Amino acid sequence: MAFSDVREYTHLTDEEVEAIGRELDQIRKEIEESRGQADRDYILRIIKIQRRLAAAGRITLFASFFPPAWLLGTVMLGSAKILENIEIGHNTMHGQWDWMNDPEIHSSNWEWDTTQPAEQWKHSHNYIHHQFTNVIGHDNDIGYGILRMTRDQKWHPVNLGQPVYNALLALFFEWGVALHDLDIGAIRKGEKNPKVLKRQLKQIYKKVGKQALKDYIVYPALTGPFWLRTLTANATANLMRNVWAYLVIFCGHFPDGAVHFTEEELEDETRAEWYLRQMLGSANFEGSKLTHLMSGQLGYQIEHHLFPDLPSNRYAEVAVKVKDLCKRYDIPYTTGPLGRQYMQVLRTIMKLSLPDKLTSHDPPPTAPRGEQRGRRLKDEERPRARSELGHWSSSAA
Amino acid sequence: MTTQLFAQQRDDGTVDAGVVKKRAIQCALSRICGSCGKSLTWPVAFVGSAEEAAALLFAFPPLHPSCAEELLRDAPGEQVLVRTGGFELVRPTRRGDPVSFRPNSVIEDD
Repeated sequence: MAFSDVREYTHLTDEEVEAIGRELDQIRKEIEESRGQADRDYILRIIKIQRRLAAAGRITLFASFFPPAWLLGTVMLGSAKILENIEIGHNTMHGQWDWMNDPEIHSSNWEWDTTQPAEQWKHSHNYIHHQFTNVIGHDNDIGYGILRMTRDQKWHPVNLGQPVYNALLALFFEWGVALHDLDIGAIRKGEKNPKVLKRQLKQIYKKVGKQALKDYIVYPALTGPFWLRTLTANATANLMRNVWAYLVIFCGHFPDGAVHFTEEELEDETRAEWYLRQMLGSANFEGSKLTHLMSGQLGYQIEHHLFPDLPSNRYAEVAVKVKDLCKRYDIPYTTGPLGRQYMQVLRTIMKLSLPDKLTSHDPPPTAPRGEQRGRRLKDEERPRARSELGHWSSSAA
Repeated sequence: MTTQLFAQQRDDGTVDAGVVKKRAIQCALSRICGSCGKSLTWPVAFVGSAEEAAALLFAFPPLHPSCAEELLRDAPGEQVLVRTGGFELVRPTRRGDPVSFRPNSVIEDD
């Protein structure tokens, strides 16, 4: 099946695909050429706000014996963690601010406030997820190795528990992300090299140790007799960040309209085709400026996937142009209010927890490629996950 | 570039004399060195011909400055080293063409 056979593209001629590519190149060029002091001021301001918010939260928790102070401190700390993880950490590690030549705010040096080591994130997210976006068997973001998110993934009785796994994933999302680069699917099938696994686990263990020491020992100890209240506040702040980050990420690729692909569709694709795949595999959500800030501008997931290394504060203006382009070429531009987008995700998770025959009268919107071709995929035809790692991990093999 | 470099290794363990496209993309996105395969540091270095340096468009993935200097020692006089804070991955517009890399914040030598 050629890439051009993907249903959402079939109306486009080769010339139109190339023209779309040129228009998106131009959008990128305009941002690159205008990138400068205002963008630098933006990220420095956000980092300052985030650090002050975290400090204010920690200080407020010294008075955590007073319940409103506990609540206020927790909310400030949780908000600081959200800002640090999504708007600052995630985007910095994509290289969005590398052009500033600031060694601290640089993709190579940023280590974020969560349990997954930055190095593993840059492999599992920046490379695997962004290069193989929504490609079944390759992109581990499709269900995080524990949820069935498309009918191209074979149903198993264990999928009946999906609503429960989904809730647990949301609550403990930080830990799901920490284990993301291990490739749970490969471990389950016994395909993971034990030496590589051991080395990755060791790196995670070290990072988890640092995080646990900070949130659950040092800061609680600093508040003396109120250590337990501080500990619960820190745990709650982490929980807040977990649920919000889960929501933002799941709304980026699983609402109705986001398309899944198979490996053959990305074989030697051109830049224009890569752009189109990113646009169709992603979904935006609508919200206030604050909502977009707190979601690391990932409400503009389509724009982020088109230009993952452009400064996040420019996605809103890029979105206006991308939406217009999609309208002119009759390409789907998936977006909607955050609540509606998540309800669609939840519906897909619920439906796919059941055997296909029980939902054949009302299939989930992510129709499998096999069915689009008039037949169902056999197990041996289902794609295998990517196994290559950077030298750091693979050298253990 | 005579030694076996990360960006030249195919999945089957054989070595490409040029650059393996999949590896080049991996280096760019995972922020790893095209020579040793380990995480990049600041600044990032590129090594290429004088023409590549003049056009600011390199075929070989980003490198650690120390790895870049090692490569220069292997090919003295033929390659140029450019240091930068950031770079862009330039995907091909035609099927079969390689990806390339454009430094976006070059650090001038003292």
